[in-house]
Amino acid sequence: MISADCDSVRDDLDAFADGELRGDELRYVAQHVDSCLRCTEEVEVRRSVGGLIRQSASHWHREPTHPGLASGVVTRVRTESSLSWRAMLNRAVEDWHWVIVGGGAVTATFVSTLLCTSLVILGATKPRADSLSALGTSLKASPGAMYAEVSPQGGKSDELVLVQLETSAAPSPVLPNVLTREDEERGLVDALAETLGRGGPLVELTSMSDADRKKVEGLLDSITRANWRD
Amino acid sequence: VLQERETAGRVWRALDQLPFEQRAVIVLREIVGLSYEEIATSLNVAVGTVKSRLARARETLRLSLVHQ
Repeated sequence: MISADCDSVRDDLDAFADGELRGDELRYVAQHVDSCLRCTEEVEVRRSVGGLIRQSASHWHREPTHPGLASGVVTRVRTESSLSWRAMLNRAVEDWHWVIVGGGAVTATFVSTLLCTSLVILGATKPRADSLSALGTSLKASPGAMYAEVSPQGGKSDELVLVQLETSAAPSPVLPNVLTREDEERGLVDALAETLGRGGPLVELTSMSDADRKKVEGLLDSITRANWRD
Repeated sequence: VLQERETAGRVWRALDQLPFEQRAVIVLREIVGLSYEEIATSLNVAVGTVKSRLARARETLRLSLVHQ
């Protein structure tokens, strides 16, 4: 009599006979087969059919009455596989995969460039009013004579005070600025201090030698450029 | 030897009567010795399809050999 358990393992008997089941499936089917005479016989039938085919195949090899059966099947399988649309698609993808990879790389580069450009163009933020950029711009934009004092403050050695003492333009709202710098801007500020300071409190730009004035203007340009990059 | 040859002939005829899909899986399994996974890859079908074709092929072969 066929029980419900027999029905539940019927589809797996071939895989069980072939040793193709694993894990829980294998345990479940093996348990049932061990306790069911009918299913044990079913498994034996499947194994005997397989054994008969293998035995016959060895006979065909010895006496090639039906030569090329296996190789014929394999050849036909390969031929049919090679003609299937999926195989053709696989081959097409395989043949073109470097083109696809190249195209993908070019597209990715283009998209990345576009994204970066967009970020640079659209993502530019308004510079801070007290940034060196604003300071440099303010100093550079001031018409007429420019006076500046750059001197180290007491206390922390890395603090500088930039004070706009006098200008023909209206006093800049961003001055004075207390700047604590550890980066390359500090170098620019130090260079500015060195050039402008001269140990005295005031330096008039117009009274500088041409070489010094050019150097100061260059430094201001550097500050402006450095801070535009921020 | 004669009996062996006769059995081999019967099996061959039974195999020959199988639809190609079933003959392919039984030959690839029993003679070529491929696993279900390898057969599925060779034929571009699912492993479940291999299992069902193999089951049908064996059943057909069994009936065919019994009735020959």
